[in-house]
Amino acid sequence: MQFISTSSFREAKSLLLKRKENGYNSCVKDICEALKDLDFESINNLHFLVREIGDLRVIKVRLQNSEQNLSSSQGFRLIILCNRKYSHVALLKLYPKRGKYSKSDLTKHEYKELLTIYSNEVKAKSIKVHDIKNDLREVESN
Amino acid sequence: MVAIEDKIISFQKENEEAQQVVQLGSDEHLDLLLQIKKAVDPLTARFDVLINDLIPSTSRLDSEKINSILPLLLDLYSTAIKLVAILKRSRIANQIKSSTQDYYSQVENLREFIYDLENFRSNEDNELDGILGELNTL
Repeated sequence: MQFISTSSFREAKSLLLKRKENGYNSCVKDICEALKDLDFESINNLHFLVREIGDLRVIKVRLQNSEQNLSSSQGFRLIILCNRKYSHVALLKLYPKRGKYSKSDLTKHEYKELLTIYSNEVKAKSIKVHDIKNDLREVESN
Repeated sequence: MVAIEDKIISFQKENEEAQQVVQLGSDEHLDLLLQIKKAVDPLTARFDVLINDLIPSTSRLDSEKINSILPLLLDLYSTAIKLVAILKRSRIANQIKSSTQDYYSQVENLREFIYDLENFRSNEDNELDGILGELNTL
């Protein structure tokens, strides 16, 4: 199973990591800790299923913010797309529930935008592949 | 295994009971601080357990079943938000901010869960499903 990302995820991650004092510095570590040992079924069984059609599942993952000692209920939300056909998990969006960039919910429109970006970037082959066991370091795609 | 409906209804009753304790506490003084804390802290812990239980359980449910549990969740939310209002008004409860903030966080968690169920799982969404359907053909 491969972990890939779209530009929407990478932009959100960069924003959160821009200033250390915002308290989001553990987000990459917290993502890796939550996902590194899971398979498709486990991800689906542990987290919130937003929508499912055919080989695709959109899932909301609740993550702790270990730096601020916030539990998963108050930490981060990670939106992912599990694609069985391509055997990959696409990281689509990351947002915190507390602090400067906190957000309550994503609207339907925002979900549609995230999926459209994913679609465009898969077609354009501009998605990035990451090593989930190595702080999401970008790796060459096969 | 206890049905989802039973879990929600029984937890709503616990929230109602806590309201009575907090209201009583608001009428008296500092000696009731501990009593309020003892009523709120276990509820916060139980809230966390309930949400963590409901999230994977609802992944397996169809929209009809989701629609049948939504009214129960809304009733629970209504009860919980009343307790939040009582706690916010109570001068005594204000002295146990850490406890009350943790409870508010769990109620916000429930609101988020209900929002997601209502918006993404309880009905058809032709536009979202259309995009996902198209993605399946890539």
